Amino acid sequence: MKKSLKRIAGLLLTGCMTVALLAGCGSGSSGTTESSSSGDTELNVCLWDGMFSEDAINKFEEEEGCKVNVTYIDNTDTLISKLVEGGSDYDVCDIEAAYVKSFVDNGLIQKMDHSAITNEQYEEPSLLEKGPIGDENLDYVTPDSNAGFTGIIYNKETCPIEIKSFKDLADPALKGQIAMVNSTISLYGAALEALGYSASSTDEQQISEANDLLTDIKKNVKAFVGESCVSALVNGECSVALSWDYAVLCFDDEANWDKFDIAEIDSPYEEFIQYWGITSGCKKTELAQKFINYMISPEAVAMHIDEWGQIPMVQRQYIEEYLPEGFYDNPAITKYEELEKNSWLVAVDDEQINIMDKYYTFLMGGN
Amino acid sequence: MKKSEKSKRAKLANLIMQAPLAVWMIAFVLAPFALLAFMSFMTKGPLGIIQYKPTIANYKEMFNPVYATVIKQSLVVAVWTTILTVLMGYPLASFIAKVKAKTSSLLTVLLMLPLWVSGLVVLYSFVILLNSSGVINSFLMSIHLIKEPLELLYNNFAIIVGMIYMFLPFAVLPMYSSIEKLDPGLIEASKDLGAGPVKTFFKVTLPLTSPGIFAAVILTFIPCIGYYMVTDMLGGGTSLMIGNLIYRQFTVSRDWPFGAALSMVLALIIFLMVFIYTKLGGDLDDLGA
Repeated sequence: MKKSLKRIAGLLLTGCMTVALLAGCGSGSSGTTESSSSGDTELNVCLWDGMFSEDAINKFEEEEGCKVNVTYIDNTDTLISKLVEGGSDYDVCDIEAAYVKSFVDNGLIQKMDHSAITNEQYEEPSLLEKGPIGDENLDYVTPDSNAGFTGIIYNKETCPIEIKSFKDLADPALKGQIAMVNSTISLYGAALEALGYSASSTDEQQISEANDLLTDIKKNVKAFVGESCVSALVNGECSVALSWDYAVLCFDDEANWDKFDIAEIDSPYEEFIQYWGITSGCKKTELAQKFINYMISPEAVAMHIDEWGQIPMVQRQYIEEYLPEGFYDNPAITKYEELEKNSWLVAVDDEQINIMDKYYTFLMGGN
Repeated sequence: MKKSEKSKRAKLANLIMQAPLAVWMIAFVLAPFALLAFMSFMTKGPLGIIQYKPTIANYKEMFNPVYATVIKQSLVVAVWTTILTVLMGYPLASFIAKVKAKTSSLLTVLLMLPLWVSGLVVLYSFVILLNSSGVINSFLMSIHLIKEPLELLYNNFAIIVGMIYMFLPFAVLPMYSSIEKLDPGLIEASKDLGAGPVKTFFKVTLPLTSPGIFAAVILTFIPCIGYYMVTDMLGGGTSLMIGNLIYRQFTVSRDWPFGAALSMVLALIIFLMVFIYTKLGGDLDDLGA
């Protein structure tokens, strides 16, 4: 009896270890939540980590005499989980362009009253001319204050070849030289565009071809490291990176301006823009609108930039006074202006994610 | 007081003492496990919302060869890590068991030290140590031992170093416990009977400390099979482990039912390991039960 009890205890312990392991699996995506209780003067917002200035939020709280409870997220999946499971607990969220369609189609956000967002007038006109896929008329969202690219960054001194196409990343001369983001959409989108297809394709044949190209490129990839791509460039581990952090590289250190560049390739790069939305369960719409309006004001955007180093989506003449002298000499800004003319945005849907993720498993598990 | 009443009271006291643990186990082990098992038979809906339509499709999907490859890869990494960790841990455990009590305590504390630091911090420190412009390469270049930086990061070498570092304490402690319990008289007897050190080791020491080795194997292999941070951060994420696959189902793919099914398979592999361990005569006490 005692022995069998021991066995049961042992098995329970094993179960405990297993559950602990599985819990560890999800730990990377959890956000930080401050208080979630909400009164009329409290606003619960879901923001991306590493993009917004705490000082700006504090200033808004002071000006409006309210409390802003921030939940930080580091991926859209966490945001979706939070909105699906507790939609009415959140008032404002910051959404990747690729997911706006999903949010609109599934009724997660309400219509936006642009007359209350007066600071839109300071934003880059191109942002307001056309909204993201799924909300082209900006009925539900308003553009956020920053943007960027997933581009091929290379070290001018150590990159052994001239990169003119995404396909050049499969050149054997680059063996062990490439660091890449590990985002399914960014990888497959880039490969699809390089093959002349749409990044939004759900055609399995086209995605399969993209997978073949990525399989060739993978032979040269030293690491799929997400956010650490630029670290691999800076510490000399790799000479090329498909990364979304060119701006970070340029804002971090002026010495990087001459050392690194973005390759000019024959297919467009992925552009990423964020959009503000008010959740469909929000009852404090007026306060939510004021918050969004403040967060895109030139003064607040300058604070975000000061803290995190970003490309401002506010027109220069309105924000320049808040920015340090020489800010616009940064090559990340001129590059953005050049690349923005030819870039792709994607609208993620379940079908596409399912197919791409299946191929991603083939790509990573297939050796 | 009657004997039966005393016994009843003792039973009640036992029950009260065990109740918190039982509640804990039910709430945080059995219930989540049951939930996971239930979820693994459900269907994924739009935006990853779980639809309560029973299906076995999630388990069928695992017969896709690519998932078998991922499970095989995870097993290979776990097996190699376990073998190397035990091979390195055994001499260390022997040494700790043989030195004076004070030194032994100090060495045990030193061995446990890495467990007091977050795994993430440890792995980042390895990135700093091993990268091309890292501490090791900079030092070797500064003393002109090498001209070009050695490729120490984002390869199998880095994975194995990281894994061994993470799991060495789990392997050493049970082996140390077994070796310490070994009766020195038996070693002496073996020598007296004419056996050399090698024969004594293989015929006496090794068999008698095998429960500790078994425990070390289990305690290294189990966490290792689902652990993917090392392969991601030090190996460069160029291959997928079962842990990555499960993580992706709960995040990127938002396919919780399939993630739950994969988790159940992982749990099954682990239960099977423990079952084999007990069948081979292993004592669950040595696993901490």
